[in-house]
Amino acid sequence: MGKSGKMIRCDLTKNTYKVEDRSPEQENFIGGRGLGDWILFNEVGKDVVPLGPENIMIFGSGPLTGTIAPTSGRLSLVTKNLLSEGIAFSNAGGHFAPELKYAGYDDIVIKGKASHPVYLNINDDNIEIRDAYHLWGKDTWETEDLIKKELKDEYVQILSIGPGGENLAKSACIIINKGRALGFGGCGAIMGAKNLKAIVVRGSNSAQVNDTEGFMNECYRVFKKMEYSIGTNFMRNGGTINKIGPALSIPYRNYQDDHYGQKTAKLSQLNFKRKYETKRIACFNCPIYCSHFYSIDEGPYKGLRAEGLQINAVRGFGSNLDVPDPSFVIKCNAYCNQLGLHIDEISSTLAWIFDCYEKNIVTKEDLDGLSLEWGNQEAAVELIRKIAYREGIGDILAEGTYRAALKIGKNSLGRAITIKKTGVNEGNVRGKKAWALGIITSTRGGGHLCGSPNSEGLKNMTNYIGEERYGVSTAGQSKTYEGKAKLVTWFEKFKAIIDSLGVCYFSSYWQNNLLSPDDYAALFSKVIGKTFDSTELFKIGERIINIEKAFNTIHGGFSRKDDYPPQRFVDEPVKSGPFAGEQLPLDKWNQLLDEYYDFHGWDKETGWQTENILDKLQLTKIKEKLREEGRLIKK
Amino acid sequence: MNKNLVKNRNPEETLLFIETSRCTGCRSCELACSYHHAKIFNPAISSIKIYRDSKDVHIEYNFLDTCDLCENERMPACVAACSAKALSLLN
Repeated sequence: MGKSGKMIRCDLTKNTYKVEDRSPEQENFIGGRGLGDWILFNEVGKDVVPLGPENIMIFGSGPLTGTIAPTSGRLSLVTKNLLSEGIAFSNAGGHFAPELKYAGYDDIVIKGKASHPVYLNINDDNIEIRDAYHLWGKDTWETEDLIKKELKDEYVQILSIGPGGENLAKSACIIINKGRALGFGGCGAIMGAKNLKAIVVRGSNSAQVNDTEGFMNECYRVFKKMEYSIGTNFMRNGGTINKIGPALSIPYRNYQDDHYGQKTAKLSQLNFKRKYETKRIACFNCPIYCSHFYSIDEGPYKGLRAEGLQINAVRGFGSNLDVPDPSFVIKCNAYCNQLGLHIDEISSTLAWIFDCYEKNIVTKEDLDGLSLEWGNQEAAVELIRKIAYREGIGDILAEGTYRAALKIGKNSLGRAITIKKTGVNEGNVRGKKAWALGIITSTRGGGHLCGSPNSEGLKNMTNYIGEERYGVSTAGQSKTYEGKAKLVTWFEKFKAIIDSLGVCYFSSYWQNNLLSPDDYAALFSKVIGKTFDSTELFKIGERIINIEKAFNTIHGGFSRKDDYPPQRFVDEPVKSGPFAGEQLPLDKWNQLLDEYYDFHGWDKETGWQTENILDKLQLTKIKEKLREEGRLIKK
Repeated sequence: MNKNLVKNRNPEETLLFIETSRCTGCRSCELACSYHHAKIFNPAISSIKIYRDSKDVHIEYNFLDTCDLCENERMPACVAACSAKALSLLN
């Protein structure tokens, strides 16, 4: 209930599909990311290469998706990570996931490789695999327009890849509704390797809920709570870029510093809003509407109209490339969306290659004649294009920051800011310790949307509130290491639950004063018609993290050594701003990691899982698999 | 402001407006409407249809004849559900 209980399994090699019921065992993982993790763990062997036909992609909605629960439009994707070779999970908004629910399905599992370009068209019970010769080579925006025209239906929801995915750029992603992205793990290239250009969905059924009246009452309650929260008002005024101010720590020139000084003001929300914002827009059923639409009427990017961006784009293309120009940030973000490239990986690669140019590791001759002085907008945009089409130097850069650094050599690897072979585009990793721990131990390789809390530095996160919510009184303090391991484990589980329920993280405690685990437990209970409390939800969250951890241990070969910060964060302190002098020294980091493993019940020496914790979580299958691999610790 | 008359609850008195510049295209109104009609969540049976063009982001909308202006309710469900306050009932 609350779920259609059905999934589409599509085998592109055989050009067939079948509709299956979800097995009851799968219900232990809620849906979305949790269920996707479980399917991936069971169906993808260690020898499967990410770009091979045996790799599978699981697009999943959650039990709350498509209902009137606030922010119920999220789609999860789980697949084997092209960059880290461990697990990749991504989560995107837009309108695709609810439409999938209305078509009568919770998940789509894609396997195999089509003999020629195709797209999958789902319209209630009619499912067809259609030719996509005419779409191959088109960008994601053109693809969406062409499909709508071809199907003569403006109301279809589409996810697609652009030239980045077609050309197997490792930084390729999947774009929904022209502006929302499933980003991590090179998933666009994985889809491209399957010759799958797009998935189109249209539905006319309903999202079912067990106790509809009770559910509606809960929804009224949580909507009201959101309406009057600080977090909602903050996010309505520009989304996460509203955070940008002179005191904010954002990376500068490939993390040579974590502060952008006075130039930060040029990238503030006001500058985006006054000049470029034409409208506030929202994902499906979202009362927060953190997104916005931009229109550029002057300058080199005149005529560009695109959905807005969040803070990652500003630090990735703005401060980290030293271009204090909002229109450039809008352009890069939109261009990446068009070409189907993941902005985090791309901006990390760009910052790294600019840094290498500054230190003469690469020269103009290596770069097809481009001179990469900091702030060179034209060269940056040209590099993005070259990456998508794998042209010239773009062919090397399309391998992602880590692999490109290996290819270029000459000490360039020391300047590559990567975690688990994935590029990093984050602010203030050295300053906020829990934020750093969340990013660095993230199972998908970097990214703060795994275990990083947003509470550090919040004025209203007092000791009392921190203790009450997370059992960590220091939750609001940035520079201290105390209690941070516990805080990160709390948020890891919480995020896993949110992704699996099919709602947006921005509707939760992660943002200031929004919904609590109890709120989600109440909503979930009404959907499944069985009382469920937040403790039980957290147990599922812990299970999900443990599946991902085991997948990483087996497939990626990861252990404790992969949970260390990039060398630059260890060696070089922040030079200016409120976090000047902060770095991540190894002695302190070791202590933090020990604590973190303790809270998870994992082995401190290897970082691997123990028999005890897997027994406690009833993950017998995983325990056996790890034992076979010799990577289970007896405790 | 783009005001549009939908229909009269009481002749010449009650009007339902949508201010498209405020509308975020979230479609909460469609869900609320479908709940009003059949106690389910299904935009396909909603009396209000919102379409957001992702190229220019202009909002197109349509009210179907099935709209009863939530006669027995204090306020139409779509108006109550609209967090951007784009929908309003003028009396």
